[in-house]
Amino acid sequence: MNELFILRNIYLSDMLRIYYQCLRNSLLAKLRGNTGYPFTTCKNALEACNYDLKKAEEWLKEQALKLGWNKAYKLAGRKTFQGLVAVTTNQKSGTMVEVNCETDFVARNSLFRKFVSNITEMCFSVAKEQNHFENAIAKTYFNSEEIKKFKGLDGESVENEIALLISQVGEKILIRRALCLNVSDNLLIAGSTHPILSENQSILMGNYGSLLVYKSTTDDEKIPFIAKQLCQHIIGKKPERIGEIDKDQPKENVDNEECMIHQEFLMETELPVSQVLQETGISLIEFARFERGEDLEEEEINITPKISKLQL
Amino acid sequence: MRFNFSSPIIRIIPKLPIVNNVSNEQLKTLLPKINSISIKFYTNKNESFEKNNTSVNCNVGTIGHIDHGKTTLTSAITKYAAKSGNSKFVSYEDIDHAPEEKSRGITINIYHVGYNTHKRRYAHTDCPGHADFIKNMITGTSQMDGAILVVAATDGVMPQTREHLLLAKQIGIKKLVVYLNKADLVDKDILELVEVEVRETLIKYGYNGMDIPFVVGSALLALQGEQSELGEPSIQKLLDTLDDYIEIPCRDLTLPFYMPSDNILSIVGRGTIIIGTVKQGIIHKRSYASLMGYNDEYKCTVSEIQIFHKSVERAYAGDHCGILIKGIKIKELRRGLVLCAEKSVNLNNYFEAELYLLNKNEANCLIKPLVSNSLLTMYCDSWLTACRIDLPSDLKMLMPGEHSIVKLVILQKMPILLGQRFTIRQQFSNETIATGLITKIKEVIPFIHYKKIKQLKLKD
Repeated sequence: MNELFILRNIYLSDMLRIYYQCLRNSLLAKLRGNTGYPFTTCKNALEACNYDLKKAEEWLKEQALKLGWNKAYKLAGRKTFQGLVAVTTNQKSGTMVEVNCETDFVARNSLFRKFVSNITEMCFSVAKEQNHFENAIAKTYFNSEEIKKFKGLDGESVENEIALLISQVGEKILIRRALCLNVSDNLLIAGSTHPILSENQSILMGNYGSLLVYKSTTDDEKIPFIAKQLCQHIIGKKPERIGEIDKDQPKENVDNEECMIHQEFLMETELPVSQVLQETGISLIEFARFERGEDLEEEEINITPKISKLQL
Repeated sequence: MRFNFSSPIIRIIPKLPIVNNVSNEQLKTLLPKINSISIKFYTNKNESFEKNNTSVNCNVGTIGHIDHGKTTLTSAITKYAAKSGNSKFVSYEDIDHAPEEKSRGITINIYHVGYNTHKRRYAHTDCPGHADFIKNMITGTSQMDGAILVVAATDGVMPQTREHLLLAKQIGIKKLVVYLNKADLVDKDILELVEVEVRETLIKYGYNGMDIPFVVGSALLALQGEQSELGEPSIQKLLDTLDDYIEIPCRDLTLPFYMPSDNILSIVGRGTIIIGTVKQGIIHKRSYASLMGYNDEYKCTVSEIQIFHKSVERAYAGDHCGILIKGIKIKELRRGLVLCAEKSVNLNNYFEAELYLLNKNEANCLIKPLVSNSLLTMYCDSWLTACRIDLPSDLKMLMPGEHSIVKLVILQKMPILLGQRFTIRQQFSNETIATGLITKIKEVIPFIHYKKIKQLKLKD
């Protein structure tokens, strides 16, 4: 009788153990589904919080930052050539941001894209607040160290946001540079990226980006469209400067042309840009072009902005 | 630097030799002008495992999230196979610091290793980036027959695991084997959870998640030579699974006969001789075939096949041969005509392709961004013709180094095979600027005039 009792107890405790095991496993699966953190991290969280799902989630959020920072230090030496260039404009102000990562798989990741669009929005709000004088352009160029010190949209510092993202995607993330523009009333801004990948319409993302400041004599509906095509042209033909019709002579070989006005227009070959400008009444003031990962090899510390000289 | 693309570069031959009253002996001397050309198979003779070469080759690759152990696994496999003398051990560092490989003039960041099992020879690739995979697919350096998905049991399915699966689907990998790595670091129940999660993800991305085999192990242990279940035996199990599960697609011989012509001779009273390399299939003596290309199609009979002076009953894929055909009257014999099995291919002039525009380091000319409606020259097999390229409507241009699906219209109707590779050159300077792979054949456009090809409105 006694033996049977013990046996029954053993059996019951076994059942209980299996029951708890299942319970714990389902909790683990749930936590992992909710947060997306690695299995072992989730398990540690549950053990630390005595299998309380809510507490574990909070614990994870605290730990994630720490994890991210640890990982960020570990990855500090790695090179980042991939990533995205994001552009957002309204007619009067615009911003262009480059964020780098290690592989192009991460650049396709929705978490990464969300992060890039947050940073772009943040920079855009900075751009809008810039003061400009009459008939002039206000522009600020931030390098990665400067951007890190900003506060993001939800109050968290950008540095911490990077660490959080690193803990999730597991690659080094670098906000390389940002350009913020704001112009006075008689000037306009257009921007574009190539290729245009983005979830929402206002923030464009791609491997290349360009911003263009221009003046228009007419209020034609077509003008913003043409300006956008000119932005595409800047990305495609990579002009060094705008050039002036009186001073700069066109080169013999059109393919080597550095002045934008003498280049063939990308959308309609055999038509120089100067003619397009004449027909539409647009005059170019200034442009900027970002290419993902360009000149990363040479520059390690000092980043000089690649912006054409101010011509007013 | 000059490039060696697979399709030979030809100019149209102005006049073909027409020979009267040839005897059999003379014909024999005429036929194998081809002796000087030999077909090269690219194998590295120095590798020791070439000796006990198993005949079937299978291309596999590793995919998976960063730091999940793709490279360690590759290294462990070579180490294990090296033990049985079937491979050369490649260390982790060698794979990780792979030099950029220049293949057909296109730089691919890729590492190839080879190893043998008792059943097959494997060519294993390790690609770091998404764009590298696509480039690899277009240039055809090594099409993957199957892939090993590496998932660390400590992490489970991570963001890039999903991206890789999406990519595998896109480039047409049908068979996957999952290797659950780092299994020594977790409990058994977590392993089960990870397996369930991976299967769910596989199903989500359109794979037959329930049937895909799983191998549990630890690549690091195997690399250290551990004999426990998770160590070397797991690698053996993985190789066995690869042998059993990954099928090699039917190649060459079972497909319908297809031979692009390198040279065409017409002999009055005897017929026409087509010289070329059989690309796929088998051709028998006294069988029917079609000679196709440049808007025309002719039926003919094969009356004689010769390989290096010897008359043979049939020629197989890979054979370089001369074929005497009868029953056709062609006004203009041109290089690039294709001899193929009857009704196996259709003449077409409108199709879709995956196109890769060379970047500035790969091309030896300045490459302008490609915009819609550009006129270029297309080279394929041994023919060439003018073509017009159109980008998808949401893409304004294609920058050097980028790839996209494009629509192509060629001036003359040619036999087009799915999966055929081609190169694109600039019209006047004749510099190679792009390479591509035909992915979809569309409806024929009835008639195209050279001057109006740019105005043509394309249907979807």
